[in-house]
Amino acid sequence: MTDPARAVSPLLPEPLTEADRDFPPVVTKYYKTLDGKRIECTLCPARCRVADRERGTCGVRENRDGVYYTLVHSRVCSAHVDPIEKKPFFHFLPGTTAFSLATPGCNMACTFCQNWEISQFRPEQIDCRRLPPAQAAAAAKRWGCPTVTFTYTEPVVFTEYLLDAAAAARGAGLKAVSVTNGWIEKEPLHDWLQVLDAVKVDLKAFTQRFYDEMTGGRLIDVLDTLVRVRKAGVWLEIVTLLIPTLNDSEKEAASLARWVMKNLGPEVPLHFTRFHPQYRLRNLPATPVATMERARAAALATGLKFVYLGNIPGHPGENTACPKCGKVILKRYAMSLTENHIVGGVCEYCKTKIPGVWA
Amino acid sequence: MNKWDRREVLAGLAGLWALDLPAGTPAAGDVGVAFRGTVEERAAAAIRLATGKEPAPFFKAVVSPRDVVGLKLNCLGGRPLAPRVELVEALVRFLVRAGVPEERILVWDRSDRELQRAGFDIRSDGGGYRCQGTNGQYDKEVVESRSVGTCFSSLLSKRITKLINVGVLKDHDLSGISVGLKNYYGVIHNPNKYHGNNCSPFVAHLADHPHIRGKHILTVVDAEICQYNGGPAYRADAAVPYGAVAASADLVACDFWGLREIERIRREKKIKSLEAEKRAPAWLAVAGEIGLTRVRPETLRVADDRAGG
Ligand code: SF4
Repeated sequence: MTDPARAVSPLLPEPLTEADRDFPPVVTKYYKTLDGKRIECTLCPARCRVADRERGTCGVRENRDGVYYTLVHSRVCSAHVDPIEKKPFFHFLPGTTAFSLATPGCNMACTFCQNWEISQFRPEQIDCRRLPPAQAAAAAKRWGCPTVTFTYTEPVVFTEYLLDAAAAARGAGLKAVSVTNGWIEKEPLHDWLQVLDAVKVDLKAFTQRFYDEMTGGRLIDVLDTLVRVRKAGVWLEIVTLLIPTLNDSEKEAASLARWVMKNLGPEVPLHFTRFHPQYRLRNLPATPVATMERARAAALATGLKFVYLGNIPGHPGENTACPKCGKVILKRYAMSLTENHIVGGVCEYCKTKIPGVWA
Repeated sequence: MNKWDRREVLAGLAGLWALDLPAGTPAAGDVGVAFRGTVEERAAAAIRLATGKEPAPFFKAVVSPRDVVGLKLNCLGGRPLAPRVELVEALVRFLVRAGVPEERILVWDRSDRELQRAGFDIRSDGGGYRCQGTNGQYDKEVVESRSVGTCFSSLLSKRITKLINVGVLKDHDLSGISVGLKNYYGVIHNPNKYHGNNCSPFVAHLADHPHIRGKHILTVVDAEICQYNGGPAYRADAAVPYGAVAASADLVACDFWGLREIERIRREKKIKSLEAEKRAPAWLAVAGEIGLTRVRPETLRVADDRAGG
């Protein structure tokens, strides 16, 4: 019988995967060491305890001999130039384009994910390109985008890349924004807020039951993130996808809006977007427009000034009306800006200051 | 015990080894465990003890020459803690003797790299059996298997028609043990999403998919060593020589046996049981509840080639 101890030589250090050669793993600072080469990841509230050779729930962070690495630094699986309205950011440089980047992976597992083919796979399962931070900023400039956006998958799980690429973007005179589920621990969030100009948070629903059954995340942590982003003075917008029978009741929309009103204030834009069947949730129909309109009315009734409807091209709920004079000051069609009547951050008609980032 | 209950199953397993049963029974058991002879002889004996048939007649009865037989290895632990090449090649020879053309035998794991680290040569064409990783080739469509939603390795869903699970005898930090069923986390694209709650009920729910349950013909465990703690990676300080090959035609029985052995060794080493560490494999009870096994842990029959001296 072979003595097991004698067979250990083929182990580390050597690349664990072919892809390591192109995408060298980067040691993360967001973890604690435990006994027996195990670690606890402190990047998101999932707080994965990860044994040697294993990965956390997101599938993009790996324990190698008791050291925790991100496998997705500069490992980009998706890069596009999009209207900033598509994120959606409605109060952030309207009518401009965003150089939008993603690496694989997510810390949640939403059954309705529209980007599951990149968010729910491991990095080595997806075709990726190496795009170091300085090159990302240079590409954004080349394409005439004033903003670099981290989006499509979940930027929490590529925090190290986000921090470096956002810093590079700022160094190049650009802005940096993130689209996130908001399920992040306080320390990395603090780091984010030093380098980001805006954050859009997907508030998936307003019940923990929904988070348990449909996402794998935790509502209370996301609410905490919203408060912290707002307190830090970084521009914040919120999106909730309304899914028939699961989170689309008028009552839930009103509760959610009341919470936003009380904890974040009336000026934070709230977007309700329309669900279409996909990924593991294909047994439900698209959300009826009437349901969307009822949710919007309930949210506006709480005192929120900017409540939008998304994924309904041509609906008036896509537009921004001045909260004072009521005139349409930003007109949109299918997530693209068609008219802009905000000048120097104020309503062109009544000169009311409109909250947002306009230059 | 009429109903599968997590506590009762685990208590049943604990009771089983505490009874200090005779080392084996002469008749076929639910699990065959062989310690004697070469690796090939042990593999043959384990199959014989588990099925009552020599390997070639056994395989002849369950596979046809038109089948593509997949041997899913568990190579995560690297060479010290992966199924050995000698064992896998012995299984290939048995299959060939049963009439399966070598090129219709596919030895596979998640990636070429993992197979190579375990000592296997990649052979995707040419003569002889095939050996290759899934390497990112997963189905484009997500399918549901009870609580698990996933994309299967296209090798399994599109090519393999009969399945042999080739695992090792090891502790697993999250799922408690990784002996048989847990190895099937290596055939899906998103195993990390099913690590919560100590992988229960997910290990069992995944195995209930027709790609696994409907194709499985044999589980073989390379128990050359037993990693009784600190898995799934190899840790020399938590591994002991064991020197056996185990087999079962039942989808789950090797897990019952493996759990029993790992817990026994943990007790000898005076470390806490998996139950005390709150990572007992509750998914085993789920496997029973949903009918993945005809074996009950409290009556598990282990046929051992050392019986009678
Ligand atoms: S970032 Fe990934 S590994 Fe870390 S706690 Fe979250 S899901 Fe787990």
